[in-house]
Amino acid sequence: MATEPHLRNPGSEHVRRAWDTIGDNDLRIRPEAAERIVEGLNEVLSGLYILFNQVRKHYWLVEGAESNDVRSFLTDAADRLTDMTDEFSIRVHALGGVPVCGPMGVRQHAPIYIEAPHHYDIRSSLERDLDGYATLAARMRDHVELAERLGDEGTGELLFEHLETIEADAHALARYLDDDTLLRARTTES
Amino acid sequence: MTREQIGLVREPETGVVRQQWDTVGENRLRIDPDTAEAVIDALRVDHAGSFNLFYLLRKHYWTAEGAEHDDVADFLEGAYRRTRELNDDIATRIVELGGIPPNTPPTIQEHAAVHLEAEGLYDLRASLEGDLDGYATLVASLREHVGLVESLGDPGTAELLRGHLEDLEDDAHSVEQFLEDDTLVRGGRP
Repeated sequence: MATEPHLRNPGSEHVRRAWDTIGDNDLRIRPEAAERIVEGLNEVLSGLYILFNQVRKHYWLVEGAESNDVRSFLTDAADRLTDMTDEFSIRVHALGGVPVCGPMGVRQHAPIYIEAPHHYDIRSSLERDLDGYATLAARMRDHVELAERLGDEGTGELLFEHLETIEADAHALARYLDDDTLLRARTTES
Repeated sequence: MTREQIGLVREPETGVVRQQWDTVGENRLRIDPDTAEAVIDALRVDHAGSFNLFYLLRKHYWTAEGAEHDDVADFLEGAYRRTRELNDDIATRIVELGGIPPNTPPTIQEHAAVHLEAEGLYDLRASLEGDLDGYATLVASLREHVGLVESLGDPGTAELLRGHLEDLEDDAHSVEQFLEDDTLVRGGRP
């Protein structure tokens, strides 16, 4: 990435919690545990940020015979990504952390890449979305375990609940991509 | 906590590019290509700006603290959702005109006149002042673009922008009211 975007800075006298720091939490979760859980949640949030951008791009640009169906699925999927982003961010705040909220934090934590800004064919686009969902699901599974091991069952449950949504949407994408069709073979194919 | 910073954007290994970023293809609206290009240029600024405002409002929705936090957070949740609708509608219009909406962090930040806030959490007043500033920038830009696209001969886009302008102005006014210099808290003058 070439340059840091211009950021509005309200000034140090207005800071209540600095980026990359952990304050106290009122959930009586040990600060060392909270720190590791926040790090895990920020990784998930970074992945969600990227997927949200990419999924929306694909519903804006989708064309072709299946476009209505795919667009409506992706639109709903983006809504689900928004809702879980809100819940994870609010949990990070409750744990005494600062949720990822811009490109810098995303770069620091992101478990996946975003595709270049060109418009690609829908099949490879959905394949990349599926790949992102699968990576995110794997990370969330790890973090469920971590949170539970560290005695934060609340975060574990929250992750688990949204993991089920991520898995369901990954499965729906996989079904769109499955190799079966009602269309008769094209003459261009052997 | 940091890992080495990496670029977020990747050229995918598979897939066919249907349209290059930063190009304008044909449109089915019979809008002259030069006109379409000028309208898209204007819309990209509003698209990127509304995306940043969406994130700004959301960050403050997640992290608002203090006696007034609930009321403010409720308002911000509705406001961020309206900003996202604007963002989606502008994206759809850009595609109808034959363009590609900004869709990666670098392409968004390159076009946005509304700036994100520095990482870290700031006091509620400073945060809302930043939101108000973002609204003011976006409202001024949309208003200017209504005139521009009308003079270019694209009343459809003008109508779209005008429809959202009203909502944006209402929300900006609500933020202003939160910031007014009156309070029930004794000794608490903002």
